[in-house]
Amino acid sequence: MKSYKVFKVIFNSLKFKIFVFLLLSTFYFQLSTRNAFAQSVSLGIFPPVMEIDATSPAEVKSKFSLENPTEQSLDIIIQLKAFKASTSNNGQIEILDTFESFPDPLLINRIKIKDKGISIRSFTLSPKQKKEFDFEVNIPPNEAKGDYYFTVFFATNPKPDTISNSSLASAGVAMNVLLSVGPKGETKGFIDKFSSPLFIDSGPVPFTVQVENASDHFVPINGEIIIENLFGQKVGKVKLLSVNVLAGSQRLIPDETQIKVDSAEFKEIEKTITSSNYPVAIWPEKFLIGPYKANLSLTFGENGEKFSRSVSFFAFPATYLAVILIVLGIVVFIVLRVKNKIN
Amino acid sequence: MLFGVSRVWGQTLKNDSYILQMGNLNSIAGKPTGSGFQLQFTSGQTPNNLFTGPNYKVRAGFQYISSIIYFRFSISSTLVDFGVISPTSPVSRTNQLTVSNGSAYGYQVTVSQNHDLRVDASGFDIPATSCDGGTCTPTTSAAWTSALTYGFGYRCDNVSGTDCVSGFSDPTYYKSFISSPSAVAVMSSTNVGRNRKSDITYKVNISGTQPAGLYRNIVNYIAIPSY
Repeated sequence: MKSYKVFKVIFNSLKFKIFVFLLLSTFYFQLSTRNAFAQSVSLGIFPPVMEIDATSPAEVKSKFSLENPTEQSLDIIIQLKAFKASTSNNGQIEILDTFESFPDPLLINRIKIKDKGISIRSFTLSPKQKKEFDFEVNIPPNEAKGDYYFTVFFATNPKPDTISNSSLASAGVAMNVLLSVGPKGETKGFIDKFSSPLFIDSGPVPFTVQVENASDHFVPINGEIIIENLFGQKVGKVKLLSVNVLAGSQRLIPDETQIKVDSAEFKEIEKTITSSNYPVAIWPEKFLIGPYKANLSLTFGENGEKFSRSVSFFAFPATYLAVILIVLGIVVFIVLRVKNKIN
Repeated sequence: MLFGVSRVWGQTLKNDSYILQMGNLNSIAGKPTGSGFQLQFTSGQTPNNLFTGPNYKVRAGFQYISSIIYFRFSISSTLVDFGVISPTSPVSRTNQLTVSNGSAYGYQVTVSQNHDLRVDASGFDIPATSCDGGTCTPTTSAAWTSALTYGFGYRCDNVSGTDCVSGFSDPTYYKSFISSPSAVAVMSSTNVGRNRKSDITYKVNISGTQPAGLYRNIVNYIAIPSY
């Protein structure tokens, strides 16, 4: 009876009521607070480029895939943009605001991204999902011939529902499409630049190779540089990377080793690559002496029109020689001092 | 069971216009070469797919990449939370961009914003910064150290690789964001690379007359391979 009275006093006390109120409030706020996640986002695409040769009429069909390596689903929106070659001539693109550069600007309406046969402009990628999509272009009879360069963006679509001052970052990847609607004109072009340092101390030797495509269509270019010594012996070969050169544009061409980033050959030329402000083709040979002649030969397009040019350079290992002379000097000095002391 | 096993026929699915090529095991692939020849084959997956049909041919992927390597782009955090912004107390936040362009020789990441940091309800903006001397733009960087210089801007710092575009060698230099549909490059490389990382630092500073509100925007990054 006595304990009942004590409990009654406690229950009725103001302090107890306040304690209960605070306890319940804490639970309420804990349960109702929204989690604010600082999520990462990641997207992958393959292939990064599509090259299409077509003549009207054609129903071009191809495939590509996207991946979401993250743990959350991603809402993706699709956008198409025309582009032209960047003036840096390094294979990068410059996005255009309109499709006026297209021989037929309305062609853009006949490009479809399809998922299981249904044309889509947005979609959701589930966590860890890799998904294949159809890429289709309807080229009607009498379509305006010429090249159409466009890029397809796949970008996340963030929802601005945050409750603080903030920026939301959206991530996107792109696939470049080079569409050539024929019949194609004659493949025309030339070697715009082929140069190397006139004098070098030691290798690797950087070559600047720039070509210009004067055709009305993009052209794949293959080539190599053969290096000969004073006696006309072949002492080196640099295989050039096979690259596309857009119609009416120029492009600098690197060598093939530069895509093998994990190879020992790449490590040898890495410093030369990073020290150059633009793509160069690199002969990795280190010890060089005397005059050399480098012969560039290029094949333009599938018809195989060939171009060639030569450049000469002179190598003299001045650093090595200076070290040898200094060492020799020290040895001679020591020998003379010893001789003088003996005498 | 031995007698009950039925035969499985491997057929080529084709008609006059198409041959259906199915993916298969990536068991053999390589580039056999000799003194007078170079033969390129892949038995298995055909990553550099050739799709053909009446009047067209599609080459998907670069010929020099002989395996499926996704062109990948990541952002470490999609939410750049500035919290409470007090006048003349600049707030800086950082997230990280990562590019793996093993399937393309070169790339660029472009950046743009949908609009300035804005209170949607009232339309009040925190304008783009023009830096201390009033000279920085979306394409030109300049020093921004003064607490009396207001606005919203960013800078790029190399973490692995050297892919941040020029203009950020001085740690006090910033650029302003350009608004869509225009975009400018923030990272670029003319090489193949894996996990090229750059930190993006966002900086915002307001004056005492900036109206109160919830300021938000969206910053769009697009990773674009070379062609």
